[in-house]
Formats: sequence, C-alpha cells, structure tokens
Amino acid sequence: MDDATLYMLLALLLFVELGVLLVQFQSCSDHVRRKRTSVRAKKNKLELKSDVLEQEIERLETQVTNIRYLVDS
Amino acid sequence: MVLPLIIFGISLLLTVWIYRSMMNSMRNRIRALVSEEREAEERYLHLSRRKKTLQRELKDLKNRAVLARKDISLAEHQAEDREPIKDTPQDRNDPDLQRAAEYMINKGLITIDQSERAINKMEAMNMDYLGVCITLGYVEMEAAKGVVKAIGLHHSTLSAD
Repeated sequence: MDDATLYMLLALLLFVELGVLLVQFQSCSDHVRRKRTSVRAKKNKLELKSDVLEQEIERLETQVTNIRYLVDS
Repeated sequence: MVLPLIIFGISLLLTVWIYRSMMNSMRNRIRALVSEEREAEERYLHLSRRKKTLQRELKDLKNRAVLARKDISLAEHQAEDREPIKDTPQDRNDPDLQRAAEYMINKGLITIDQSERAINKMEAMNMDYLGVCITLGYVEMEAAKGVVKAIGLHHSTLSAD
C-alpha cells in the first residue's frame, strides 16, 4: 500500500468520524429542543392552573376568616 | 506508516472525547429542564393541597355554623313553646283542674257555685283555675299555694314560688 492510498484512507476515516459527530450533535440538540418545548408547555399550563388556584385560595381564606368570626361571635 | 497511525489514533481519541462531552452536556441540560418541571409541579401540588385543606376547613366551619344556628332556633322554639303554656287557660276537662276544684270544694275553700263561675271565667281572663280563683277573691294566695302543694300541681304557675 503506497502513501497516497494510506492518507486517502485516513482522510476517509476522519470524514466518517466528523459525520458521526455531526449526526450525534444534531440528535442531541433535537432531543434537548423537544424536551425544552414540552417542559415549557407543561410549565405554562401549570402556572395558569396555579394562578387560578391562588385566587381560589385567597377567596377561600376570606370565607374561612368570615365564617370563623361569625362562629366565634 | 507510523505517522498516519498516530494521526488516526489521535483523531479517534478526539472523536470519543467530543462525543462524551456532547452526551454530558445534553444530560445536564435535560436534568435542568426536569428540575424546572418538577418545581412547577410541586408548586401546583402544594397549592392543590392547600385548597383542599381550606375547603375541608370551610366545610367544618359551615357545619359548626349550621349547628349553632339550629341550637339557637331550637332554644327560641323552646322559649316560644314554653311561653304560651303560662298564658293558655286550662281546659275545662283538665284532670288537674278537676282535682284542684274537688280538693278545694271538699276542704271548704270555695263553693260549687264559685268553682263553676271560676271555670267559666278562665277563658275570658286567660288564666288558669287557681289564678281565676285568686283574682276573683275566692281564695287567698297562701291557700292556693297550699292547694298546689297538696295535690302536686307541678306545672302550675304557683308551683314556681
């Protein structure tokens, strides 16, 4: 095997390695992006629900205070 | 021949290192996202639990309020029911009235005629038999109390004294 063939094989292997790394990078980025999207959607939904719950809790606390005052008096 | 092999080995090591770095970075990012998601879930769960606790507390307080209201209305009803008994005149056929009349006639405290008159005036005067007798002056207060004690008229207005 002469030197030219050897270097050509070496270059081919380097290209293969580079390709593997690019594919892996793309796959990781895609995975993280999908996860981030799903987490953001879920977080937004939960925050909306939490806001509603906070308002209900405030209303209930007011009612409890009023009724407790009535019962105690 | 040695140099290409060295270059190939170095490039292979570099590739493995980059690959592992990418994997670690991805894991860290995903871990951060999962922890962010968990925080939101925990906040939501905490608020849900708080809401349930408050609802339970509110229900208990409402029950207590209803019971207190029932107690008050029951006491009012009892008070209302008790009042008319004092004012309502006795029935003509009331066994207590018959016993009191017989006892007083037998003891000579009043005559049969006075007793009849007292019975007839009961409704108009809105009083019980002994009250009418006292009002009309047929018997003294002390004598009426003696009658109450003697025949055991516990629900008479004079028995309270």
